Amino acid sequence: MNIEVINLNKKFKDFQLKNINIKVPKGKIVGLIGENGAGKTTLIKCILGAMFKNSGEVKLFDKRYNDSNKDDIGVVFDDSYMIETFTIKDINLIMKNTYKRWDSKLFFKYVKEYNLPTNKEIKRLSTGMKKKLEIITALSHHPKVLILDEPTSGLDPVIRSEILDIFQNFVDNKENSILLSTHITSDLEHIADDVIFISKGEIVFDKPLKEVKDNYIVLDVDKDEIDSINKKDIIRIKENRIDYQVLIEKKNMKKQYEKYIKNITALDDIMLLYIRGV
Amino acid sequence: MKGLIIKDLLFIKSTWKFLIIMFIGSLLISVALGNYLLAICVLPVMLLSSGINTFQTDEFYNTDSYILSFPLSRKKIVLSKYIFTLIVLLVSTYIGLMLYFFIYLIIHPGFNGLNTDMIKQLLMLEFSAVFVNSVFYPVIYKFGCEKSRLVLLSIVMLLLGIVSIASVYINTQNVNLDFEFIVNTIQTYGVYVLGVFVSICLVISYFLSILFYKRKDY
Repeated sequence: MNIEVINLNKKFKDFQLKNINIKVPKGKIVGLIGENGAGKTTLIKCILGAMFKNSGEVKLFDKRYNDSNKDDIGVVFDDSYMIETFTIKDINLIMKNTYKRWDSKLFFKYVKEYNLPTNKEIKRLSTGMKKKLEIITALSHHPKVLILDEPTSGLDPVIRSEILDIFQNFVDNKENSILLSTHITSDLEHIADDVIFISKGEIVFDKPLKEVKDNYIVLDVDKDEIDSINKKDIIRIKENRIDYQVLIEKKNMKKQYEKYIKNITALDDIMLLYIRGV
Repeated sequence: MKGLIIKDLLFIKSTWKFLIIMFIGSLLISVALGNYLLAICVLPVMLLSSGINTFQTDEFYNTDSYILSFPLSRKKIVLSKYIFTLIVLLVSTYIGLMLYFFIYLIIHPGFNGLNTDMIKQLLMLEFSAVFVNSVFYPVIYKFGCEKSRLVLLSIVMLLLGIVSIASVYINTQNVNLDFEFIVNTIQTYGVYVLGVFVSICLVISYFLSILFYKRKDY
């Protein structure tokens, strides 16, 4: 197991992470989804040691978390965090003096591949270029795990697709893995093996993506026909202006429900119904 | 740890235009006043005060939480700031001496030898800047840059208050102070006393910073 979080608790005045248990196996991309403020970033910061946990344990590569095994982790955060008066050459200089396995050749190979200017200050780069720089910086010390917090937010679909390709290539060796936190669930539908849904500091489900998509069905039911749905079958229901959105398990699917089936059940729908439905 | 020291040094490098402007400004003022202490000291003191600016930059760009993902203990992260400060102290002393020779060789071509008073004044200013850093660092680790300004303002106000009370006491009680003796003593021993005092402060500051940083969430 590359990352294992066991019974992690973190309390704030107005929020807490409760008994979080997650596993990120070798060769897998694990998506962490949830609404803003659900606790995704807090969980990531607890894993990285930027925040202290109140109780629980974080294991990296089956060993108790310590500072030296962070050499095997690459990190990308949501917000930009590189000092913008620096250049790409400066970043290389800092990182090669920070990580034991920093690979300048690989770094500049990526820089060339993604057409990033080496002498320009980072503040002169576009949002997409900055994000690519952050990702290649995370990759250039040959990490075994990438921990990514909203790495594709604010990017256009073309750049997002390029970045998702990088992530897929990263896990191709079956040894590396990625913990990817995002609220752009459509990104996960293309690349994630497992999905962890976290809401209000608690894990709602932790399942293989295929199982999530195969097990749940979202029905769009007209208001006057809602009685045709057996209440026992409903996991979550959300009232809209003209209809109800109803989440049911596939095993509870009945013939009379077929006409209400949405064409594609997206992770977004499932997440929305869990958060806003009753 | 070396990477973090390089990061902070690169930050200073990125402010070189500002430093040059400050130096030229102080040089012009020095020429007008006929006293070159300002021109000699401004760069070293500015360099030393940039230690505090590195904290502000880390906070502004959210670099502080990113740094915690590096394979370094919190203790080493703190140590890097103090080593950086000592490196800057050495470099700024060197720059100060170079400026001293440069300015005096140009203005007084016949000058031969060191003006020890000037060197002592330079060192005392530098030690004072290091002292300010040693007060600032743990406060920043504890409260962050934003709040630490208020905390430090309170400390400065408190010190001013103490000095004011002391001066009022001296005036009202007619305490006879031999100011010439005090000035001579400061000129003779001040730099050594200040050097020892600042060294002790720096060590205490380092341990306090570790204490605060080890408990802080980012």
